[in-house]
Amino acid sequence: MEIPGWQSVFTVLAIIYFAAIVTFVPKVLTDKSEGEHH
Amino acid sequence: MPYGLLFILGSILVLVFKDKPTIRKAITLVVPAVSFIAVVLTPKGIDFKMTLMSLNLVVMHTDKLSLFVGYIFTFIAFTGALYSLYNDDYRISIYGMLYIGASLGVVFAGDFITVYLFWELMALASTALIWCNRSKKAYWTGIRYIIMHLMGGGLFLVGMVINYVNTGSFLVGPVNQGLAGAFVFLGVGLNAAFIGLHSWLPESYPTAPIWASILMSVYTTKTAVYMLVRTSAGMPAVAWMGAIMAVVAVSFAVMQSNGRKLLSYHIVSQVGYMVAAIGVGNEMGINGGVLHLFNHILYKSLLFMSIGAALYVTGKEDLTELGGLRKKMPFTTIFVIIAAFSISGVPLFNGFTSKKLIFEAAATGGMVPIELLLELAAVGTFISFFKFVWFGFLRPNPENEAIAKEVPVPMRVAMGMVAALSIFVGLFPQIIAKLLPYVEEEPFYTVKTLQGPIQLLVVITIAFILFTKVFEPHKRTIMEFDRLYIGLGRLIPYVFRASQKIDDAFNYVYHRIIYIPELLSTVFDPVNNWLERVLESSEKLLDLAIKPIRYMNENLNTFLLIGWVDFWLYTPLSEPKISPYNGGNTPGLITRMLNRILKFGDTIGHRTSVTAALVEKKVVNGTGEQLSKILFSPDTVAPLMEFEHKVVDTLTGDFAAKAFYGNAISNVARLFDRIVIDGAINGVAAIVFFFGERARRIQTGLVQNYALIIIFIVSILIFILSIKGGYS
Repeated sequence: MEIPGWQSVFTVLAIIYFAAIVTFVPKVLTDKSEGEHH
Repeated sequence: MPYGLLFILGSILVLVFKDKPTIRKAITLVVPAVSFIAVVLTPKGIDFKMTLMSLNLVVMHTDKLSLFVGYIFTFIAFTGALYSLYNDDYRISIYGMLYIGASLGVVFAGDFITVYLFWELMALASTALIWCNRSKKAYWTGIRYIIMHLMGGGLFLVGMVINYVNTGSFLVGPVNQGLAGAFVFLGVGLNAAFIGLHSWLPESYPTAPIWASILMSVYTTKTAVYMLVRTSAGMPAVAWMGAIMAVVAVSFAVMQSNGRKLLSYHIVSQVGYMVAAIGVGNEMGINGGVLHLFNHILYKSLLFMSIGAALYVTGKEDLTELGGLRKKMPFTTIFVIIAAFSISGVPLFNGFTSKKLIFEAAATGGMVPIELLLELAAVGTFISFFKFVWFGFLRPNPENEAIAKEVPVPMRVAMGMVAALSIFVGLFPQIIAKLLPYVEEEPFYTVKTLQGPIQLLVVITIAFILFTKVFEPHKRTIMEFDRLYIGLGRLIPYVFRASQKIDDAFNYVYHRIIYIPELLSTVFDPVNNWLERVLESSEKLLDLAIKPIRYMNENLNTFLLIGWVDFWLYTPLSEPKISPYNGGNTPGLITRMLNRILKFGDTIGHRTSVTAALVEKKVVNGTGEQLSKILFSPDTVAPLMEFEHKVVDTLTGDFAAKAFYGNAISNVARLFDRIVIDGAINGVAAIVFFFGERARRIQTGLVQNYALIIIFIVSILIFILSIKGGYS
């Protein structure tokens, strides 16, 4: 990719993506029944 | 293969000297050292051939690719053994050497038969490694692991055999077309932890003892990556799967707090880079994928060794409880930083070199979306390792500072060797590049190639410092894809029921329209007339019903497939036709399996005969009256029965249509259980030590399970060959 500065913008967007993942996904996917399925 | 045998021999020696720790540990060091030197001295172009049961096997084949993978496999075997000198569990040494030997066997194999044998040995040995942790959790994790891997091995085998039917050769080579390609993709993909088939990996690696996870982090997935280079290079599906692996796994990784689990997700993610590069398939892609395999083995084993060191000293491996190790464990801290920089692709460290090749390969190969996904994963990797190093090692934590001390010298030396090689590759990539399968002349370090990673490093450092709290680890279990399978599994009873209903409806129509009228028409005319009327009045309805049947007949393959799926879904597990061989009340798995096959024979037979009759006699558009007349005339019934017999015999007759065969197979399985396993347990002392207590657990039915899986796979094969016309 040759667009100047695209990488920094991309990186910031990517950081926001991962921050959103660690903030919101565990609220849905946290396993509250640990050990039950064994 | 000779190198593989060397390790297998080593594992037997360890067993012999299991009570003499010094000799045992010396063996674990000498064998990898000797094999490393041997691999380095081995020239390319060796083909060691053998003939077994009229099959031409190439049990050892060397070229640049297999040697390159051989170098790193044996190097890391040595450092792993050095690191594990303080491991007092001889079983880990035995299974570990078997496991490494099996991986080397796969790498240097020139034919798929040899590959398959070592592939399965690898699965068994790594399961045993998980079981070296004697907890209940490890037991169940191991069970799930072995089931997954036997399925994967089976799919791979089906791919190999279809490829053999198509090409007449078992030689290792590209298998990227049609059904064979699809099966190999899935079979090898399971070992490479393709998303959807990956949940065994982050579950099992943190469960195995740390000495074992260091080995496991290296061999299974990388052997699979090697096999993908051989079989599936250049498949776009592989490239996309790689990119998805890189992003999905890193997204899961940033949410983890258990150190080894976080690292395990990064294995999936980094293997994604390799898989993507192999899928891109140009020369630079293959070079990048293979170099990334080399680099990843270095930094990932160093990361596992570092968290292992922290675990060894503090007894903790959760990032929420670690930290405070910087002052007391300076060497380990430096090593973990080197490893973190390497995996993040910071210039001057090894990960940079291969990632550069992979990004360029994707860009020049015209796969920009893949490149972008991999760039996204690179950001996640950076964040994840900032988190890993900061929370795991650097941040202050007085509790750990009080107990921490540097790990013993051999562990430090092992980590130092791996770290040194990581930096060496980072500083002098051109030297390593000479060993790659294709010529690599473009310089690794230019202003252009450095721009991206440096920008990334700066922006993410600032972001992490500003938002450390966001990425702070929390102790919790994030649900995985296997929950999806469990959920789907819970749906199965409903599918059974629905399928049973459909079947009942079919049987109702079948008996009412075909059998009963035949009887009644000769005995009870009034009823027959009534039925005739019903048939006439439902002419339109029948027309509707017949259309799909005709369609199915025209598409016999699809029809057979439906029969197959239906057979699996609806056949009840109880009500055995064959009396259970064990004389007990519960039918064994084999018996149940055979019942399914017998029932399948019935089902497919009935349906085929109806369809055949309808289509043969061209009544598909006829009236109900015509239908019944034609169907019940002797002219119709005879060819119909013949057709039924043909289909049933082809599909199931030779295999298990008769109870006799069913009993024979159960008897063989029982004999195998009794003679091999019991014999091993009661008689042959060596094998007793070898499988120990686990064999007793196997005896309770795992061998039958294994037989079941094999029969399942064989039946898939027969099915595929029968529809492909290769079986008649």
